Amino acid sequence: MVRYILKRLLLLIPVIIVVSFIVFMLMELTPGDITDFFYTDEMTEADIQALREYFNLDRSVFYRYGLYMINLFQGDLGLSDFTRLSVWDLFISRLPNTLILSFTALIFGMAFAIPMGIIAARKAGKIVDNLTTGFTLVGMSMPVFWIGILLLVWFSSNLGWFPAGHFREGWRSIILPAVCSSLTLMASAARQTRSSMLEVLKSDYLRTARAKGVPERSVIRRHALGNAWIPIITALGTSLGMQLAGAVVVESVFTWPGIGRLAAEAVAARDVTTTTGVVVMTTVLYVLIHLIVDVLYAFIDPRIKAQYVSGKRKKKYSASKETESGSNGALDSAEGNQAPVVAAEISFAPEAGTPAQEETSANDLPKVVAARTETKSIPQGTGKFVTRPHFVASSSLKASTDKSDAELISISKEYKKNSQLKEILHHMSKNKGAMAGMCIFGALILIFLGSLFISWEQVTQSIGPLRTYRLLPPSWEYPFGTDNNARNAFLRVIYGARYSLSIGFGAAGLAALFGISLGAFAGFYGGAADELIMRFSDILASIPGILLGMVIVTVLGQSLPNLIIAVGVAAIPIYIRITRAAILTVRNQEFVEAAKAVGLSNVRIIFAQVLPNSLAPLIVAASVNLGMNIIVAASLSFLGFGIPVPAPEWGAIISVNRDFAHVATYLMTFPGLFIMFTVLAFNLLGDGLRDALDPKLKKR
Amino acid sequence: MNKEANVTDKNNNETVLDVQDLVVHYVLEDETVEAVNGVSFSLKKGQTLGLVGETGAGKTSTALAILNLVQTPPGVIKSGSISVCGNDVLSMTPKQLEKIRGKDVSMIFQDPMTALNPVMTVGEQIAESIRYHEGLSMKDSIDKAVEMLELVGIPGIRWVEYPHQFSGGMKQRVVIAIALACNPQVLLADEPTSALDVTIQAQVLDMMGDLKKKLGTALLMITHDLGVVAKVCDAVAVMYAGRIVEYGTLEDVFNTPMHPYTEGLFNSLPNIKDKAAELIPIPGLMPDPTKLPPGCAFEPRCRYAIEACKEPCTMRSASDTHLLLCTRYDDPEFEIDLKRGGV
Repeated sequence: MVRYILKRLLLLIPVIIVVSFIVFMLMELTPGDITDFFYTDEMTEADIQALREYFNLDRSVFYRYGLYMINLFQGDLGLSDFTRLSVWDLFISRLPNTLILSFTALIFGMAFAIPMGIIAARKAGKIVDNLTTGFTLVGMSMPVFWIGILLLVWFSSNLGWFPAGHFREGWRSIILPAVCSSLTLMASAARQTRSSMLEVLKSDYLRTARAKGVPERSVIRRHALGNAWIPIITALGTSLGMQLAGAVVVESVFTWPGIGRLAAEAVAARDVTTTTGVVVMTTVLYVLIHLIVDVLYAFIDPRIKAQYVSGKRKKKYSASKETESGSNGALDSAEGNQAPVVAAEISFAPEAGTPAQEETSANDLPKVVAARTETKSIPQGTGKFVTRPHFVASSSLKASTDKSDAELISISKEYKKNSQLKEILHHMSKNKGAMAGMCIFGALILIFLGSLFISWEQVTQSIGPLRTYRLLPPSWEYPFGTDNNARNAFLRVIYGARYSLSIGFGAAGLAALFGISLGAFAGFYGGAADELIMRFSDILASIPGILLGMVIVTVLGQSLPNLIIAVGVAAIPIYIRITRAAILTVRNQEFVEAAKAVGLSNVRIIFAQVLPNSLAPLIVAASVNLGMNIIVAASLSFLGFGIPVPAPEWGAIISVNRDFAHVATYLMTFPGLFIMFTVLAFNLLGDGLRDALDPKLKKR
Repeated sequence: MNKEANVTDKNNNETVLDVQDLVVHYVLEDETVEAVNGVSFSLKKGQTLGLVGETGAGKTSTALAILNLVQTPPGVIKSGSISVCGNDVLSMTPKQLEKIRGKDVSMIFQDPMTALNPVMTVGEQIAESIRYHEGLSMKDSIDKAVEMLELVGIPGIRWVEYPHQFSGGMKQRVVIAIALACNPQVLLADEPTSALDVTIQAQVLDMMGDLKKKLGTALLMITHDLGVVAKVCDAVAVMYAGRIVEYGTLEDVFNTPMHPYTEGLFNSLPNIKDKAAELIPIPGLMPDPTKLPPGCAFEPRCRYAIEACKEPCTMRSASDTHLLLCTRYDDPEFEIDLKRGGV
């Protein structure tokens, strides 16, 4: 165990090197340099030269980076470019604030999420369950900054219960920010608790426990929850990591002096040293949280613990058991917190859905029957198309009479009848959530088409004199009211659809393009290429997405394509990981061998043979990723790292109208609702697609 | 046929398990799986009944119904009555059920790989039932659990280990130890040996036989392996599509099988003495349990079937101990033509 932790800590070193290199170089690419800040008119050429020499600007950027790294490994994060304060001191002075906020949110979120998930799982399909599912979906689709401002308006400005972001007002000042940042955490943890409990509730060992006469309370608490913890802890760890990474958003809304705001200020000021230092430190924290989660697994699940013990005797009794050495292979896959995720992804592959594949041989009649009856008894009768191959096989059974042959053939026909696309559509049409998602998506497309008729002038020009048309409440003429610049808020919001949709799809497309290629390459070739790509992916994944986005937008400049790149880059690791996992499950199938035997080129095999068989998990991931991209892009715009004003991007609209939130809340409500419903649509579609594409994962 | 002595204890003819007209359905969104359709049998103290049939015949559902553990939804126990040691299982409250499960009646589950809780030590899992039923302290019940482990042939010191540290056969022994921990009156063994290697199978069966003798437990042995039945059972019930089609003593069913389905089962066994003999599989598949025919469920696959078989039929007795469900026996001349395989 200690060795494992040490190994993981050592792995931090390359992460620090690569992350600092990326951020340092990106920041150096921004126009202008540190001396701009110190120039004064009285300075002579020589003074300027001396100044440049002082900051080593006369040397190459690599020299400066090398110097920075030497200091970094001596524990010195350098001095801020502008304030000349120690970056370490800055970071440490802000860190407790962020930690207090994150942990309060974590505790608050857990206290609600876990009971909620358990109740929902136990009452699966009932009203309570549907309400919980609804809550979690909405919770995951809400932009944090939007709900934060609304909380401020309601509970601070209107009701006056809590102070508006004055950090020093004791415990009362932490309530609103904590509630705000716990909402997404709560939603994802409740969702994970529910699905994980559902899985466990179906398990055989729970039946064993009940058959023993264990009281129901104990069955749930001891047996079920004991086994459900791992995915829950993973979700909590990931959420906590995202809290730290996304702290910048909540901290900006509530003017909370944490590391997130420090990062945002540094990036905005183009302070190379501070930005690099804060991003590196946040990444380290992020990695450490995942390490803690991985170590927690060992305390929850003895099977994982056995892997850590690695050959050493843990208990004196176990004299005769096989040693578990060499189990580090399993651990490697557990690195970077991906263990359960990868496992889940592997079971995504359609092949995994055939329960009795290996056991079924042509002359094994009872088992063919078994496979069939099992499929039949899956609730909602799903999975028919998955088991199809067996029936084709069983129809060639020659040991049967004419009559039953005819029967078998008719069965195989019945199962061949529907194409996979039809099956998927059929499943989707039965799924209320997916249908709702489709409807919202359809409406969005209409809005998008409608927005094409709105001109740039209509959304950026005032409709009349400011005095009469400023901050009008919603009316028939101006359904969403008018803003401080007397612009038609309705038209602005509608126009914004084009930004959000193009960012969502653009970034997902960009990430998919790179992610799928790299993932396919890694999965198909394995070896050194795999190792290199996966390390890269892990490191990229460990840089908090919003921070990376801020840096990229600052370097490239504020524009729509640059925002798409910023959001897309952060999403690449998702696609790499899923593609690789999916490819690994298909790679060794016989049809791939057959393709090799026919002499097809590797590229052709990957794109024509392997990828189409790995599509299901990718489609699901892409649809969820679309929603995530939209939220990240809106957050970046909100923070001022998006499309330049006056473009009516939804996040930017909220940011602009923030100051009028207490007098004209409607200006914020509508764009926020639009973001929420757009993201909700993609989340619903993702859920629906997942259920339709892989019945095994149904309602997880 | 290596059956020794009759195990039924003549001094104690008390019926410990009585199942009457049990009907279990699984109600799904757009169809209903009729898993068990009117099953009746009873077990006396110390007796062993073999419940034989293909996978999907409703054997496991029957056993789960006895514990009232059919997963609801989608499972529903439609009708019937089950009495365990005189208690009506189907009308008991959850609290009362918790009291008899594991104490009066317990079950050995089919798949030892999944039947054990992976995050609890095997000792705790055995001790749990002792603790709840006998009110012992944790420490005392662990001591008892260690005894149980020794009883099933596992060194007691291994109680601190987790299921993943045991082999399949060992896990099955643990599952058996859990089931036997409180000396139940009735033991339901759901294919206890199917997941095991042949060598381990024999060990486990011998062990169960010994334990049964020692503890006087009545055993319901669910299996599709006729060899297992011949080895341990006193009586046999052959199930097909949720009904018992033939019921009798071991001798009745093995020496003079009468139902065409039982015939089919025997014919599909290889004959050790005559390896050249052709195996005769039963043609076709078991009927779709969501669309059972009104008459005999075996009729579509039966080579003796006549028109009358499409009508519903009832149990008839061939002798005092031998019951069967087949319309063809209305004809006194009727006889199946058994090409005997070797068991």
